[in-house]
Amino acid sequence: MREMIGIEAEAYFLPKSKKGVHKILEEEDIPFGTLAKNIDFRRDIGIEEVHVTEELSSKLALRAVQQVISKAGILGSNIDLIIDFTSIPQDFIGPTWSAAGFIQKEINAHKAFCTAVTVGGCSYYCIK
Amino acid sequence: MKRMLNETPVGIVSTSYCIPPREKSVKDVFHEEGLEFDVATSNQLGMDHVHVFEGKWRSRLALEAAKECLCKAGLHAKEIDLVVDFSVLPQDYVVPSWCMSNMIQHELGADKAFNLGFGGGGTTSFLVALKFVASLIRTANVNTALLVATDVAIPGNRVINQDAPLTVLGDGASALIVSKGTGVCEILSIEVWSDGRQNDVFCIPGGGLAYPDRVDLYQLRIDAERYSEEKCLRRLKSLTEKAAAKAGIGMNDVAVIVNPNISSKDRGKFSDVFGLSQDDSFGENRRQYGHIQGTDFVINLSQMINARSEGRHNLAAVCSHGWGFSYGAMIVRI
Repeated sequence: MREMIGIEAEAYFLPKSKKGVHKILEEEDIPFGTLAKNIDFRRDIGIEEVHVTEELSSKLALRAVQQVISKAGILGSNIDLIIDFTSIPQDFIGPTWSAAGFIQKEINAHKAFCTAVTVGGCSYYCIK
Repeated sequence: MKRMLNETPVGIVSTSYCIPPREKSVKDVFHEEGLEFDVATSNQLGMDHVHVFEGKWRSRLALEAAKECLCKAGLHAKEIDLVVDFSVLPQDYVVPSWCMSNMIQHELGADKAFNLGFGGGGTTSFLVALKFVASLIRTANVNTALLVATDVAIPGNRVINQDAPLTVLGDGASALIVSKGTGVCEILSIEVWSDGRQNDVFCIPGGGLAYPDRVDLYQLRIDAERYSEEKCLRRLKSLTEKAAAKAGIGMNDVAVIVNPNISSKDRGKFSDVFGLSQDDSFGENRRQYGHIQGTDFVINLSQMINARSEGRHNLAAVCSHGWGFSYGAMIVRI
């Protein structure tokens, strides 16, 4: 019989501060107005604002982790495996370092094994 | 030795490594980094030379290793289902946004492959990659995997821990083909374990989000005050015994222990803790190449596979403690 595997709980953490996309486009000198092929980033991007932070990205991950283990009703010590699937640069240079070990330390997941998978994009999440 | 009756055998089919041709003496490396190179240091390291890469694209070394590895295995790139990168040091572009395995797939024409990399575990990423690959081959629709790594030292950062040098980094790349069947090196068991408290003992602090503007900290460093070699080796021995038990053997059945080529002193301590008789089976590799992260394992395993035809060795333990953070131990039959 096939063993069932499922997602027990999920969580995400977004920092409180927000910044409008128009502001970001200005700060980063992204041209506005209609360009060739009728492209207008401000009009077409479909994003009004994003959450921004000065905090280290590992700290954001930690807050999401704390939420998810709470929702799942488990302790860090119940976790066997921690996989970091971050896509952009982290606290320290990769692939030498990943946040997985930091998370293990912070949630006392002492029996877990920690690693990071890199794929080059957000399909990290889908690795089976 | 045991394998569950219904368990698919998985083995390394071929290995290859690519070392850049230019040699540099360890003495010259020390002088370039403004360090004294005395007899005591020389004896502790047990290294004569490292090879240095002078090109721009370090991934080219991995590509060469991958091509040779495929050729040795008698395989076409289109037969590869999975490409896995186990590099440790910075790559052509910034990781994790970029992954070398995608480039390798493209250059080889491995059209049907899926690509990924493992990071954050030092040389143990080699064992993590093998554990993942072996598991996928046993349980999923994966028949053949190509594992690759390339590691080139940061300029001026070959001597690791300049106050009391622990190792000297050489450059190089390696590749393995892993497939169903026993191959030339059957994987019997792999155990892994992490100690998150040590997650940043081995890292490059500058250039990331923690110290984005500190170019002076863009150096691989080992926090020697938090690194206890003896403690790491004792833990690693315990994990290796666990891997041996999983494979249905005792440590007495293991003919040789394969570890990274860190230094002569490290191998000596390794021998002490593991109860070996001051064995230095891979000393020649260390002397001529220095430490090349996970590629050390491929070089040392290749030596063992080549020696097999002479009737030497049978069961081996391949293990690493990732400077106290990421531990791995694998039992293989060669």
